[in-house]
Amino acid sequence: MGTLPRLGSGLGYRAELAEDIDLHADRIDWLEVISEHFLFAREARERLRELARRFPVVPHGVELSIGSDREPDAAYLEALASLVEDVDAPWFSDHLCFTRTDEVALGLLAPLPRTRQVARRLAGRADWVRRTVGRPFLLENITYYVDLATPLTEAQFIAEVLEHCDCGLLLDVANLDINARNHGFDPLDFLDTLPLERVVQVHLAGAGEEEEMTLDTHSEAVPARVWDLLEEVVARTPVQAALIERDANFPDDFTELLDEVGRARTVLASRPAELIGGA
Amino acid sequence: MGLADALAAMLTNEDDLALLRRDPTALRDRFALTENELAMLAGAGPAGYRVTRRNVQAKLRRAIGGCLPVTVAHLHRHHPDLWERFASGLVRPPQPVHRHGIWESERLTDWLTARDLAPVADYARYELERAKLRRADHDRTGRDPADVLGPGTGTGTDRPLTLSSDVRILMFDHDVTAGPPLADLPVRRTHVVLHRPSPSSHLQTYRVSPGTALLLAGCDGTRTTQQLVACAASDPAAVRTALDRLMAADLVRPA
Ligand SMILES: [Fe+2]
Repeated sequence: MGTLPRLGSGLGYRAELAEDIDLHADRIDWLEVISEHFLFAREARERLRELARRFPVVPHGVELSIGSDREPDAAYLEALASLVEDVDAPWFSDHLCFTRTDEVALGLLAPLPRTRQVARRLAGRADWVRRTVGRPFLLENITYYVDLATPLTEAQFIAEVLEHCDCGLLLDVANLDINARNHGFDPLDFLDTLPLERVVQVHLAGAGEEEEMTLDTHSEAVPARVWDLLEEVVARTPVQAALIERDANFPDDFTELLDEVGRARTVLASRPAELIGGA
Repeated sequence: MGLADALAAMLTNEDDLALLRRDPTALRDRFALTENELAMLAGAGPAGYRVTRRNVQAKLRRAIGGCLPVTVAHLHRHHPDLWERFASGLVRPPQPVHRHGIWESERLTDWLTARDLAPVADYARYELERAKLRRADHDRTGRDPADVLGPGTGTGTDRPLTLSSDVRILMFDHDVTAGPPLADLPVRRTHVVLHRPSPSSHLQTYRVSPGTALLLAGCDGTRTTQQLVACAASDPAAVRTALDRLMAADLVRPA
């Protein structure tokens, strides 16, 4: 995959935050945008081009459904390639999941059966997507609530995927924390199993508590546990980019988000300089 | 068929989910599952299925809420049972990205129309048409003929008249332009014209008279000004003036 640029600490671009992002551009190193919001929307794309003149922009998809039997729609991939080119993205990303079958669109990221066969098929598909789009491609671990009784653990499954493709890992540390708590595993064991040198980017977010489970809501401040995990990851491997995800319950005071962006930047920079890879 | 198909069905259909406990062999046969795949599904705890099923419905609500925000808020607040019934029965088929929420909003609008909720159904249709028009630039391919022809040349021409590309003429049994609360929408036959002059401009909403709506509907690319004036029941001079105004507002152009 080669060396990727060190983007630093960024924020998920959302319409609700656009004005504040504009006002505080000096405290945000880069932006991640939801690919689907810009693929076929001419006006939105024009605004995004403007944004990309001021920030590094990374398209992050939610509807590639790379785990579906059917290969991704050609029009979708063509539009994604054009988007990535348009904003000169250093990489693009999507999730290790499926969102639809031939008959049903779930509208959410659903877990795959964690078998070697599925991992290898997915890896081949991921390489094909990467080549088709023409930029480095990162795969992200999801939050899952249905914990299929599969032969591989999630970490083994991800490791198997990465072993068979030339893609990077977008490690969502909040998802790891939520899954570990909902399904009762040790997040450090998870990190032990992953090829951490493949981590390019991390996601950080706050979760919601429901009666039955902890939910991946992106609606709260990043909790202490997630910061601790980030420090653990950074102590083990260089990370090129961190990103705060906030999708709901936006704070009245935008500095709360800026402070989180700043804290992530500090954690990333805490890694001894001689170990930092990248440009 | 396989595990993903079974899981997708179980997350969108209560009966399919119940089958996993009640009659796993039937679930296996229905989705051509291997014994291993069935064991993977059966080994997952019931809470995970419940939570994910609720998330599927929350995503559905968000997708429709993006297109029909007022309708969804009204249903959620005043008819939660109805919303629940609709959401739990709807299975979304895969759609292109730019149609996100539209198919689902169409189903909700149809569903409301078939029930005794005429004002809400009217308002849902109003919001749906607005949402579709806002997305119009996603569907458009190639250049609008009117862009090539330039601005209208006045009603003096004998070219047939047509609606501009991003104009919709709608009729409702309630005055949807009154806005929420939806239960209080005035019962009044109302003609509305929606217009999005350009992809970057806001949607314009006009409430028009029945006569103007009829005149606009006549601008279908087959009739010239002379023919429209001749067909209209009202005074020819008034019809000409009305057509001039519609052209000045860029609602109507020479075909
Ligand atoms: Fe994430």
